[in-house]
Amino acid sequence: MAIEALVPVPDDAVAEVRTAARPTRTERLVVGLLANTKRNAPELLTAVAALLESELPGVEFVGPVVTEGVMLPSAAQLADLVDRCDAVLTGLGDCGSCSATTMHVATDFEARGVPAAAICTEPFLASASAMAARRGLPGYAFARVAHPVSSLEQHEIEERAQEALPQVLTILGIDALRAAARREEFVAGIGEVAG
Amino acid sequence: MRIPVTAATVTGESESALADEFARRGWTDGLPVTVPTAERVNACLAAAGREPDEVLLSVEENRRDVTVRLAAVNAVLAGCAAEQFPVVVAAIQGWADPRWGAGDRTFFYMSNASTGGGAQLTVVNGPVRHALGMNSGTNLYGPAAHANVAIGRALRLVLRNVLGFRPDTLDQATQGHPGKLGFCLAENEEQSPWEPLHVEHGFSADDSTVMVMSGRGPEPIENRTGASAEGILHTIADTLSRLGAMVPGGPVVVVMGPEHADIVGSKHGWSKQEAKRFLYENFRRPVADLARAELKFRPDPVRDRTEGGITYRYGARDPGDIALIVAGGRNAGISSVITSWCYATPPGEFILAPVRMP
Repeated sequence: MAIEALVPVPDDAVAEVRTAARPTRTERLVVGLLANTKRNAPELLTAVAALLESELPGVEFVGPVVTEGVMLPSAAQLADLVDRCDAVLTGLGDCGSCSATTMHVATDFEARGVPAAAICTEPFLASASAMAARRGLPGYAFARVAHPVSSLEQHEIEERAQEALPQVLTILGIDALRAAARREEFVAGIGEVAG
Repeated sequence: MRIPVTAATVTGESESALADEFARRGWTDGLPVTVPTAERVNACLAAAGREPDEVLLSVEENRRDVTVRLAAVNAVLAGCAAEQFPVVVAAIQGWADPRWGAGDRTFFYMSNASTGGGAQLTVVNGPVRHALGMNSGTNLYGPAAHANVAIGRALRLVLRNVLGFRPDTLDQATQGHPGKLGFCLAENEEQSPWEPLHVEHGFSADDSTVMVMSGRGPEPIENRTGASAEGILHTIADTLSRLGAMVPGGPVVVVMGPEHADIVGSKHGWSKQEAKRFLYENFRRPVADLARAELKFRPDPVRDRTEGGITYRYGARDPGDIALIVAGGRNAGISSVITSWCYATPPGEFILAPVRMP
């Protein structure tokens, strides 16, 4: 005779969230830097920001702002950055809890219409991905850099920033924007030749 | 109390086939399980007198709720007897206490996800210890009594199955410790010279309670020759003050063996508060020691103090950060300490929740 058993896990699929629309320009963007309380988090975000200056003409940065909670921003911090920024860099996910909470923060920005690039280190891809799925964004892309970060010196942090930069440009849609611009130039060039 | 038809079920041809299916789906810790049939789950629900859909704990970070029903299903899975289930419920209610993290509930999430590797410790006080046949004597941390093992395992399965803290995803403990299989102790109140933990925290001796915190593995303290209170307490404070635990700091549990407690409390007449004060004063390291180990930490006016020209980092914020319980066998000068990680309760507070029977 068949035996019926109760399932020990919840049936609680979360509704999927749409990622925020990416910027439609590369000039004069306002980019927020939101660091959690992990050691070297503001330093890493600042190093990435320094590299973004030559990629995004006229870019302005807000922060680095450090979360009022140990890992999460206060509602006021979140609202302020949503209000002021075209995009946000956030991190650092270089531990079990901070990798997941970094994705919590990033997905909160996305749900509020602000594109976010989160930075996590490679041992924590599983926890970061699992949290993104629980926040309604399965498969959400984030920047992945080598571990560790917390114990690094400044010149090593700058190496991690170099590693993050191309990923950040892809995640924030800057690469796609540039590719579209190149296509337009190419098509216009064909038009001129044809004309 | 009936299980509503909305409860998800799986069917199998036999208990062993179902147990295999549970293992295949990753719903176990790898050990054999008791199949949670409706009859067994109902018995737990009746023992606790709770509505199955009542939410005991919500974890906002990863959007998971622990209902009484899911807790009961996992308690059966772990091998809990129905009468043990109210202790499981009380511990989960302790996890939901707003004091966890001293206003920043993310600490509860972190305590289960962190590389730091803490396990959820449950310390049981009061008459329920005897009613359930709990062990508080020799082999305190070992599998000496069914209730300790089953309650601890039930809580671990709730964390894994209901809250999603699986070792392959959200639980990223670098090493963890064996308490992650189950970490449930009872205080040996009968062999303590002092008031038990729950009475110290305002409950009646007739109440039954759980104290919950995220604890690292127990660290043994052996002093079989010390005859003074100071000698015993110095040995304990020295173990608390090891370099590898000095940066997080915060609340700790001192699990004093009855023989040590006899010397400190009975032979020399120290009160519990005097013992805790002594431990607090000696739970510290010169900052220079931390610097030699390149341990970097943020200044903390509560925990950094200069005395006699030496700057110390203190482990606790005040004597109330030290929970002093008596447990283990009365057969040797052995104690242990359990330090915490990600358990920043307000200074001097521990989270105790009452065990309620219908």
